[in-house]
Amino acid sequence: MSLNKNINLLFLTFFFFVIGLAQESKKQQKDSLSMQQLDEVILTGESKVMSLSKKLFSVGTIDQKDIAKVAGNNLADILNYNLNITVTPDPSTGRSTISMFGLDGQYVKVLIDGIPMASDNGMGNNIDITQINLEDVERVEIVEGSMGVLYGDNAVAGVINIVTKRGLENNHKWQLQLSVQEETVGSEYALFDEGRHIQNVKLSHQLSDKTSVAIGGSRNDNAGFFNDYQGKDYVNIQDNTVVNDSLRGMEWNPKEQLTVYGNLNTSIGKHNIFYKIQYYDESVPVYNHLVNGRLDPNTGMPNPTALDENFDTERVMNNLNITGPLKGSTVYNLSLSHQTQKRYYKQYVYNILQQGIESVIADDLSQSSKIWYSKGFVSNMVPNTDFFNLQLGYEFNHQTGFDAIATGEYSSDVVENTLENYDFFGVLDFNITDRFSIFPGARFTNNSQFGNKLIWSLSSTYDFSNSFKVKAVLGSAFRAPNFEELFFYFVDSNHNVQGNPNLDPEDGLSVFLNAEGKFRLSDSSMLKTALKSFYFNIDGKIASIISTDDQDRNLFTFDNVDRSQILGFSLENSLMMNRWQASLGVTYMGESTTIDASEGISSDFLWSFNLQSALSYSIPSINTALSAQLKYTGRSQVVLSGTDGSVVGQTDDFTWMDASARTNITKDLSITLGARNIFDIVRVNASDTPTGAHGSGGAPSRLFGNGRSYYLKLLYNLNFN
Amino acid sequence: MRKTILLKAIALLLIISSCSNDDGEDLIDFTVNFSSETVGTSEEDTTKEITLSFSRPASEAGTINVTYTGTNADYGTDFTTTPDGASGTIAVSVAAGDQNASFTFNKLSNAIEGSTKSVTFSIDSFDQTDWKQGAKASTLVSYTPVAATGGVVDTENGGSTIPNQVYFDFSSATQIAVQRDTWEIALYNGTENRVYLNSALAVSAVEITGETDLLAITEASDLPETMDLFTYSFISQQMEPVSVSTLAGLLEGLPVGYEQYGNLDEGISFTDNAEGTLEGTAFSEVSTTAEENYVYIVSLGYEIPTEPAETGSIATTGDHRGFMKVRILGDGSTYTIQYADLAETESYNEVTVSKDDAYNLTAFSLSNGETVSVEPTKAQWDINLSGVFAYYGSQGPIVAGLTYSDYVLHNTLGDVGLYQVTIEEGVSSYANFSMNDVDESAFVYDNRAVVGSGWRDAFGGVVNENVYYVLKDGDGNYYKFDFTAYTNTEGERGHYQFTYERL
Repeated sequence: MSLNKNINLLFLTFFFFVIGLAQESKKQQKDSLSMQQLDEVILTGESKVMSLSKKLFSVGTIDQKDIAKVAGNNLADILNYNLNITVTPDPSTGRSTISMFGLDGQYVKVLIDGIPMASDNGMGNNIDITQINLEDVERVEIVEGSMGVLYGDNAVAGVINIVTKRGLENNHKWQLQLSVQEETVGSEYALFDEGRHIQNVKLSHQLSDKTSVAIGGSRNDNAGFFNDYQGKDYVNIQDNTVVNDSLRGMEWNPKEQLTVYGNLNTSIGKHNIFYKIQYYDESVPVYNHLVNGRLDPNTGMPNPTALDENFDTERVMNNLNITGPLKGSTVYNLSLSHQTQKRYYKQYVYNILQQGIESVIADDLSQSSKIWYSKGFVSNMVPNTDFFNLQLGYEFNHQTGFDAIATGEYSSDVVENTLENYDFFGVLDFNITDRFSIFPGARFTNNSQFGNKLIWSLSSTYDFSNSFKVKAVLGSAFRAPNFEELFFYFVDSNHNVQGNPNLDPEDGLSVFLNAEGKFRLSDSSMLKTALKSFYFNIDGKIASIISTDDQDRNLFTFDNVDRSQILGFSLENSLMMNRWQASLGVTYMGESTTIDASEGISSDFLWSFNLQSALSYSIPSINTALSAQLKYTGRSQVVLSGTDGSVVGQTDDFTWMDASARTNITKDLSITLGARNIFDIVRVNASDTPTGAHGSGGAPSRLFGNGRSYYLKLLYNLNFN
Repeated sequence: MRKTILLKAIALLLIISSCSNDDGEDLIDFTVNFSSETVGTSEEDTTKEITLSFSRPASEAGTINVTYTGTNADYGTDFTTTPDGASGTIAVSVAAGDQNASFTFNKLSNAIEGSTKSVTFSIDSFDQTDWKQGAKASTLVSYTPVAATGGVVDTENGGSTIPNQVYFDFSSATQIAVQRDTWEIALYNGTENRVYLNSALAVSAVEITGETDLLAITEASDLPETMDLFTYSFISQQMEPVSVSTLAGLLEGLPVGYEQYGNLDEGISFTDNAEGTLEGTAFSEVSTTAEENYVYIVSLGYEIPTEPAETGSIATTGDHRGFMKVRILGDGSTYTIQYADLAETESYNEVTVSKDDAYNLTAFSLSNGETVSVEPTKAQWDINLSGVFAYYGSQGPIVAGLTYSDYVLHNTLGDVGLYQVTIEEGVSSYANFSMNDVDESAFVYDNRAVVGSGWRDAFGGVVNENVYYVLKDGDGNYYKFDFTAYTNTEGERGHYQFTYERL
């Protein structure tokens, strides 16, 4: 494949480049970094994008060190360990989406430096988190609760913000980072065609005091998970006849991802400008488990073929962020973004014995979207008083595109749709006493699809002391109907399934009550404890319904009929003691669903329990850090509407554990050796999945992992002037 | 220096781990087979093309050397070949990319009554060392016709709307495809006077008992007597009684569908039975006494959809084709068909059709008012890949007008017997089934629907690999056959394939 050859060429170029530089750099070895310097840089490099939300909501952070502990290459590798987030992979499409507080990925908004990310299914939500590369990421911020006022539509369960690394970490002019990561997929590994192979390159340069640039690339070649399937070239031929044992293909299809990025960070006067460009390409083949066993009429010999598919996604992102003072301590923050995404769909006949494509049935651009986005706000507008302050902002989004697959194969209506919204928002600060503050906020949205919408929030904080704080947050947000719910079309003599263009957004409301305490136990140890309770109410939840069309035929469509309530409590503790770091969190959460709210019958709350724990220990004498993470995901239950009324389906509990050791062999070279999924989770029994989804039958189950895997990561970090 | 080595090692790793094996060079073996083990020739044939098939296109040019031995046949006097084979070897050349190669058998004399005369050609050698002989390394060319010994048949049913039904004759290896909407009724050519319906178009018919005046009855008419029937109710999901006293009411339950009316206890079915027996037709036997033949209202079935179905699915029933009224008379050697549009009160058409003993049935188009050539003569077909097939019958707890796809019938009226073999412990596989395994008592002669649609699993998307079929044709030839596909390679349904072999 030409792509592979190009990549090889690219790395070959780097190879010689690096050798040349390495000779140079010997002289620079003495410039070692002190830890102190590093800390300072991180503090000053922190972006202010999320500063407001920290005041209003509770924000969790996963920083570079946490990412390094699990050798995370993409967001799916690290989010597993968040207490209230579950990563759900879909093996057939290769997509991994998240659910937060039991709400699926459509209720979670993913931002890159505060800007919503274009995705297969819209903007910002329902993101395939395996597509988010972590190589140039400073940290990941997780905000819980309905954040509609600050972040607009779909920020119902929460927001995940990916913060890009800006500038260099030290006083050097150049930094080159090279890393390779070889990983098994379960017990499967081979140098080329099994396992996971990751290569990263990043080059940063400090042009002047005020300007830095970085370019880099990351390639993740995941050969997929066979799990007793026999691959694309398998066929069972007995007595000159193909026997369809459904063993062809893969449990989890392969995925090849390439991310190339560049960014520029500069200051003009007091104004900071940050520009980021990113190109992403992903290719996912889907191998059919069924084999067509036609015989060659000439020879009478089987000529087995299979109907395979390939999805290729391409995305280009241009983000620009400018911040600076407006007047006095009043500051502005302006973001501009242009993003394009294209998905190509190919369907072809694969000849198994000849190992080649026999004919191509479809090779089309199946989805495309172009997005213009801008957001701006001015904060600290009333700098002269301590009692009162104001932040005002706007958000604009213009999106054009089509999705042939979501609208269905039979839609004659695969036309470009345009969505546009203009939002204005404001948040007031009332600092009633030194200890007690109230922050009311509101956002007005005008959306070309569903008109006007007003959302609001109210938070208040009370600081009993510097180390013990209480916070209450009321917030609202809505989830906009997705493309399929609006525009799906499949009508023929046996089917009548149509989207409903008149759908309203789902209204979400959240209440959070947090109490947070910090306790210094000794000179070198500290305990942080947070007790949190939360409640979500989602009204007008979109569900599929059966109604009749104007010809009195049964019509399967969607409407805002359901309601969902979530209630939960969590306790999170973290302890830092000498060389030890430990954390333990538990959450107990229940969900009550009302199917067809007009009938007013709510189900009981169905409760689930999650536990998360992490432990790390550093051994400075040998430059080594050991860490382990554990997450117990309790049994989860959902109400499903079956043919005989509603039934409760459940996914059984499972425990996920990783462990790793990271050591610096030299100042510039570090090795991470680790194991993922130590309890060897593959499938978990789940009665809430459609039966028969898995070819081999048996108990219905859901795939969460690909078994215990091991990885080795070599990171080379070269600094020079 | 150590750093340089480390760097080199890392860079090397980067390079190695970023390439993968994407090149599929492992092609299958190149094997050469005769396309048939026997080749028959008729008296009229003076040349015959003998074909050699390859397992894959030839990747390089080469030569296949073929030798021959004659039985009562000599080179030069009884036959020659092109390319020339006087030396005892025929050199057949192959160009790169060829899927097959052939040579010509020139017949110079004819067979003498009472003695066998044939030539056997055998693959002798190749000039390419990696070419191999397949299982059919020789073929026997007979001076007389021979029953086909086997082959692979790609049926011409035509895709996801299944526009055609296909008649196949094993002994002559011929298939005939007929568009299934060209006819509605068919007249039986045997001793009895019977009328069949086109089940492949879901045609149905109801007798207006007592009514002999074709022009007297229209949609507005009351029925001479109330009919007590049953219908399946989607609401209660049960069979419910329905009483019909007007023709308009009756028409609601006449077309084939889940809500079609019927009363099997009383013997009332508006379709022919699935088995295809003479007694099971929706039409009563045609009486030679004209007054005993009543008017029938015929539902003309459903159009063949013009748009193909989604991949993996089928679309076989389009718009309803309407109703006509029909009265059929007969004198034992001819049928007289009187027919008109349902609303017609002024005049009707009349066509007289003579029985033709060569055929089981003579098909007739009510739409065009003429006979249509559909079935081959009764000895010239063994199975009918009808594609669509509809009848009133039971499916689980309900009795309804059912429409099947991928349906296969066999020629019970032409004395063809067939039975299904289900592979289980102690039962031969298709490949191993031989003449010794034939169970003569198992052949079914009174039910055309033994194969039906049970040869495939439409929900699983696969051919049912546990069954195959054994057939005995009207001339006493035994065949086994096994379906190998019901979609084409691109996944479109309605493209069947089966393989067969003479026992």
